[in-house]
Amino acid sequence: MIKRKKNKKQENNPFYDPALKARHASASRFKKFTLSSLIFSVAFLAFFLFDIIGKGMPAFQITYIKLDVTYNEKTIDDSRFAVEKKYRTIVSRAWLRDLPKLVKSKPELMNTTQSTWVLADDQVDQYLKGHHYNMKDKEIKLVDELNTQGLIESRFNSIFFTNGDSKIPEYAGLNSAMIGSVLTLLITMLVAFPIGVMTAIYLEEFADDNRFTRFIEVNINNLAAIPSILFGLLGLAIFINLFGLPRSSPVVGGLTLALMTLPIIIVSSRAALRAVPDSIRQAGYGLGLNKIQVTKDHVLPLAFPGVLTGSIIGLAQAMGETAPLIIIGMIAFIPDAPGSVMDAATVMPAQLFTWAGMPERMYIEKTAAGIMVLLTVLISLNAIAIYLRKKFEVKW
Amino acid sequence: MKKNDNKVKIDVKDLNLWYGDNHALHGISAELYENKITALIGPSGCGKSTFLRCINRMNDLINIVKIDGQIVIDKKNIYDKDVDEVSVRKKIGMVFQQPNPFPKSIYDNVAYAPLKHGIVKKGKDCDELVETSLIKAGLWNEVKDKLNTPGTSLSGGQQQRLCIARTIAVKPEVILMDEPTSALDPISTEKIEALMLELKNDYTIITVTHNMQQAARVADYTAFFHLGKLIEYDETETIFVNPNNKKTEDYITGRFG
Amino acid sequence: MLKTYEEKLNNIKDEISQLGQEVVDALELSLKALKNKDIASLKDIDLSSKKLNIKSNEIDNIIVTTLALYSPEAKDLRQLVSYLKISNELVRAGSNVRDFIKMFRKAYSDDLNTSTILEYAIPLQSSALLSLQTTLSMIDETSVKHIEEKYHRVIVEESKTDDLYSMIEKNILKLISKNLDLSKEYFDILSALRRLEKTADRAVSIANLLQFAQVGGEMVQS
Repeated sequence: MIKRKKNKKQENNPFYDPALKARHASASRFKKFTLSSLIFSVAFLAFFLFDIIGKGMPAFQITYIKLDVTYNEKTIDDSRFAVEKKYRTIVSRAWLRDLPKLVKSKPELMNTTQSTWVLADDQVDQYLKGHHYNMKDKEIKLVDELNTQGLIESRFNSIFFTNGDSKIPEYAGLNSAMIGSVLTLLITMLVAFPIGVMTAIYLEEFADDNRFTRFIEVNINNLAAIPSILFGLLGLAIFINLFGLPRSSPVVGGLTLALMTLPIIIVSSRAALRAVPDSIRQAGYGLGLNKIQVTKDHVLPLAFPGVLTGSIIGLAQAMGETAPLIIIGMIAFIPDAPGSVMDAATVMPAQLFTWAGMPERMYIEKTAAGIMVLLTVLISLNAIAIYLRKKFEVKW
Repeated sequence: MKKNDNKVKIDVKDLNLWYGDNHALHGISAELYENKITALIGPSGCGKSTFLRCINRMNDLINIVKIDGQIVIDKKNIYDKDVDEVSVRKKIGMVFQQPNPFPKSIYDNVAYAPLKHGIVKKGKDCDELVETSLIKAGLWNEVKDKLNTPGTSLSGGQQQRLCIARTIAVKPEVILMDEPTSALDPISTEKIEALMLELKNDYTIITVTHNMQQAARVADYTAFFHLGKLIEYDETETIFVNPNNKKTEDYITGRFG
Repeated sequence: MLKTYEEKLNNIKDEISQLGQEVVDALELSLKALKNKDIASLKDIDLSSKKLNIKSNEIDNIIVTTLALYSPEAKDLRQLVSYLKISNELVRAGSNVRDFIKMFRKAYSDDLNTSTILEYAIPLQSSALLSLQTTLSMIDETSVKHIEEKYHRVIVEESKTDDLYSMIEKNILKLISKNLDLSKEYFDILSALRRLEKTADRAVSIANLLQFAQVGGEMVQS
């Protein structure tokens, strides 16, 4: 029966090919395989994001308690006395330490007792968020009582963005690390971008094609693959020991990262220059222009979007580097934001590394929140790279 | 060749060229005439484009090229040590096979090189030069209202005419054309050929073409190259009706290979 | 179309017309001479074969060059190939006209029955002239309708020459039978008149070629 059917198919259809069914099946299997690989990778990414956001979101809220605070000579001197004894352990020590500053800026508070929202201790905050806490039963009862009385509130954690690092968890923020990152990367870009682009221009447009230049090219490509921690050792040896620049400063960090980013910028700029069709150069030479005119006015503008994209991607990568900066000392405890490029500083990844090693529970959510901030910055940088490339792209 | 009283513009004397070890041009000698169109024809790899690029020293840009012999233009050998290759290329312009306008506006395409050479200053002089060049290239009417649009927005044939305008703007005496219409459709090709016939009144034109019929249509003189040697150089009519050399005849009649 | 190519095509067309005009002019002059009964003036008509050959060769070489350089197609190609053959036809027509003029003048004398001879020679010559003129006017004709009309007129005139020739042949043979000692002269007149008939044949040939050139189809030479 089946045999007859097959023959009929063959008779009526001049395009019948028995092998096709197997080929199509194999193609569809391949498609399913590649799709499942994609889903696999996306699943990992989704899991990671889910986890981090889940851990980090609570960090953007912090607990405040409404208490009576007494401002007088005694309390300014020793701020522990500003609140009632029973509340002393559930209130943030750091907040109390700042009391004299507060009175100085608002002298009318002197000799008064105000009902103010006071920053809670980190254990209270963690207890209320449902995480692991370390409090005595007495304290727990007190917190529950205040909570039912409506004297406990959860607010947006602006401290996270305005404060530098602190040994007191509830007072620890990303601010000094962010400024440190900005300064470091500024130095990195100011050094790496011009040197990298100029090197690429020389190698691509002016250098002869001989063994020496090919040797240089191979070595530059290899530099891009060197473990970044070695650049940290290089920075330590040259910038700190030889040049005597201050340890843990943005200038040293920036120079070290510049050395690391240089190969990437050179390679991507060369690729961008190479992508400019040779016909443009030929047309330029044919009109009697010399090499500088052809390169500066014709090749470079066309290569610019590619150069820009490569540089921004190099910058984004540098922003996430931790190992080399640790070697040159940027994991030091930096509570205050650096005032200049010579001051001691830390960068965001290093700060997160430090926090990840702290014992207090609150640092876990702060680390996750820091990762979220870092990711946002990196994604924005990449988005800017894409936008700039589209904007400057010359239509052919 | 029949006796003629044409003025010789380019005198090529025993030109030899090597790409590394490859002897690409063998002892080429020819007198190319002023205000005439000379076509260089021959099968692929015969050296006609290489020879063309010797005339404006474009081969100097390739490192492994070695050149021996003379090309005398206006009584001076362009390969003398005291001749700057950049100034040679100002006098001898080149139009390429693929239209390659700069990614700038039409105006800037034409004006860039003259401004850089100091032929005109920015302003009215420059505007006039751009207009004249575009008129001579037969493009003015089509682009006079959109001089600030990118050169790359034009069609293929228009782009090639823009490249011709750009070449004319630096006021050359010779125009070299390397297969100028290979990448164009028949209508655009015809426009460029008609343009060449007009341009020869003001310029000397040397053109490489792999299309024999094009050489037959427009060229006054034709040179046939084969394996790096100049086989025959004569009036076009002679080459296509009564070629002297059998190799030439085999090529023209399609009996090659 | 490249200007140089167009100029060449027009040049060839003009040269062919001029060549034809030479033959036509000679034929017109001889018709006038016959009409005025001024046979002696036939001597003055200048239609040298050398001149025609030189011109015809010139035209042929220009056509060869044009074919080599410009690869014409369709109508242009048909025209050039037709002109190549027409130049030859015109040389032959010219040769026929010259022979007629020479032989007629030599053989003509008042001893012969000139009235009968002229009675047929003049219309015969008119028809031959008209056929040649009409066919040459087809060169510049572009309208297909007019080309067909002219073609038919040429055919008509040619058949007229055939009829006229057979009539005068009959009559001259009759005259010969009456005057045997003038037979040579009469035969020569007949030979001369035959040339006119041949001229008309050439005109038809040319008309065929021109129809192929202007209208199309296949090339047919009669």
